[in-house]
Amino acid sequence: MIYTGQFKSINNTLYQVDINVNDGNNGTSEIIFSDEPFKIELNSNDTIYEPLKLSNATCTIISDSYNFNLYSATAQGTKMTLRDVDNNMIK
Amino acid sequence: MTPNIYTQGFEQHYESIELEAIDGLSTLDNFKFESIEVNKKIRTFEELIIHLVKKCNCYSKIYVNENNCISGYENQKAIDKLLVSEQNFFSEDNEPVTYKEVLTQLLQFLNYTIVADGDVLYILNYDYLKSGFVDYHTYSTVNNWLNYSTGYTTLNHQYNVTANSFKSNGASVELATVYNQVSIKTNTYKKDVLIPDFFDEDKLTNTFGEND
Repeated sequence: MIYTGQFKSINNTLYQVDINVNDGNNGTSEIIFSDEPFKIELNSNDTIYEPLKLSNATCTIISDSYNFNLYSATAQGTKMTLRDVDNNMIK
Repeated sequence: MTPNIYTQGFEQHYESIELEAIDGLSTLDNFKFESIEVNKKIRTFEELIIHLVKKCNCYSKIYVNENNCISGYENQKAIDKLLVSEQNFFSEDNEPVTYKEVLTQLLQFLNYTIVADGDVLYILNYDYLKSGFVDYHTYSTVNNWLNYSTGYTTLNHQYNVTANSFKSNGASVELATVYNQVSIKTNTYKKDVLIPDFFDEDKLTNTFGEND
């Protein structure tokens, strides 16, 4: 099942967030974002010479149900992608 | 997304939920290393890096800076000629380290930094880029690294920060810590006595046998 939603950045770029849930259903359901839809943070360290530069993202949505299927016990069970719609680029 | 994805309020009809996601490389922290085949073998760095990226299950391209080379093989990749045994990533009790640790160890040895951007991984050496070199070896796949093609390219990623690059309330510009001088001090252990203690237990030998 795919949860999907779109928002525009301050530079007027349209972005789409897709959350792929591995629950065997094929449906698509729309999500509503809150005032801060998507935030990406690059993990900072003391030096730029770090073998791994990792990032994490926080997506805030508003919902009236609990969406328990978003929960996954494994780290790769649920996949979230941010896409630039106009250029069709994965961000 | 991280296994522990949200905490949710229980007050109103509509609640705001924060979903936390991590990039593909971060997920490697959650998996114990498995050798490429059942039996552990000696592998090239290239094979191992592809194996690790395959585990991420979300990247389709790798760009590697062409800064390391082996004498006699100039202008060729080094990572497909350097070999390491997979046994190194297992403890004496055959307990594996995580995928992330393997990647860290491999890249640390080569002085590389890995950065993900979209579905592309860049394996960079900052000093090489600073010197103005833009040569990359490329690996790309369409079926999550079951098979892949290699190539060679030059990329010129240059971005000028202007007033329009960033908009925010209360913004600040920050430069990470840089080091321009490193001093190394050496100390030798001081020895007070030249001759060891005559009755020091370490120096005594039992001439009769183990149990006497």
